[in-house]
Amino acid sequence: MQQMIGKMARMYSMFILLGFMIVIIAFFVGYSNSQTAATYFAETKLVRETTLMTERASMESIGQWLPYFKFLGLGLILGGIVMALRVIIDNLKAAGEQVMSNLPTEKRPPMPKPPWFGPLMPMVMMVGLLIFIIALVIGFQNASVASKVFSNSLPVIDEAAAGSTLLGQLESIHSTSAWLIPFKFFGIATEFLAIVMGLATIITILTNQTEMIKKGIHVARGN
Amino acid sequence: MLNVAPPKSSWQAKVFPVLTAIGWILVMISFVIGLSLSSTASGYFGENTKESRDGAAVGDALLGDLETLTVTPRWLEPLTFLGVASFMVGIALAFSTIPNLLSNRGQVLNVCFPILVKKGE
Repeated sequence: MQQMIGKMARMYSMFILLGFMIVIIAFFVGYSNSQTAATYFAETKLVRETTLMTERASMESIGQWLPYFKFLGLGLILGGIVMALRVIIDNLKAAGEQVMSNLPTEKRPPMPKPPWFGPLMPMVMMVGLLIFIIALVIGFQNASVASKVFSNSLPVIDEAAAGSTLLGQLESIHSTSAWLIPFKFFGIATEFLAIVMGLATIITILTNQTEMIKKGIHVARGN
Repeated sequence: MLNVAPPKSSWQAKVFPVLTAIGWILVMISFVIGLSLSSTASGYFGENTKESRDGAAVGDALLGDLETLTVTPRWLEPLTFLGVASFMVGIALAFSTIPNLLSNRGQVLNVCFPILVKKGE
């Protein structure tokens, strides 16, 4: 399992590239949305609220999924950084083992165990990415609801009666957005946690390896 | 044994796990508050028409809900960013411990190399 993760980690540049492309695409979608807003707000309030429903629906629905799409891009970039840290860890371990293999087996000091959080790092990173994907899927669902709600004119939306589908849809958008925004930051925090785990593992390995070099030379001097 | 002291435990190495924990706690708190806001939003928008929402009088529970829904996000977002910033400072501090470790390794290798050369002669 760890070997497979190690091989996958070497594809970190693809993750970073993919994440960067997503953020660039998000920029262009955002720009296009700003042009729709420019057209929308160039009209009077009466025209905006009664006839430009397509523009309003487009603006509102894009606003529901675009932030989560951007965060997925950032998540992939952070995931790529975690994978790059994993490559550094694997290379440090391999180099350490190679150096120690120069000593006779019976005199070779035992290799120190990796810290408990080291192997967990890729899993935490995957959980972070899963959070971003879930947030994006829910964002798309919200966008579809927003598109339906705002295809009605604003007076119709405002007059929605208690228990009506329209009010239910409005409730769904507001209540989902309230927890979905902190949820995406939860995803970012998870990715950061994976990075901290990777850095702490590197620090532990560097400290242990220096000690191993000292022990190794001590053994060699005794020969 | 080699006469090289191990690297001193730097303050950064002690502080970065604390900042990571603080960051994690702040982001978790903001997520939980977000969940509670979601239920307030659901009650406010789902059970009341715009007319009743707009007509809420001073002291009305509905006005209290509106206040919660508009006031909370204004401090909740900076709190979340504070959590994210704590993580980032923690990461920066973790990075800053590495040069010390590499410098110590350099000192160890510096002492080791003459021994290796002498053995090779």
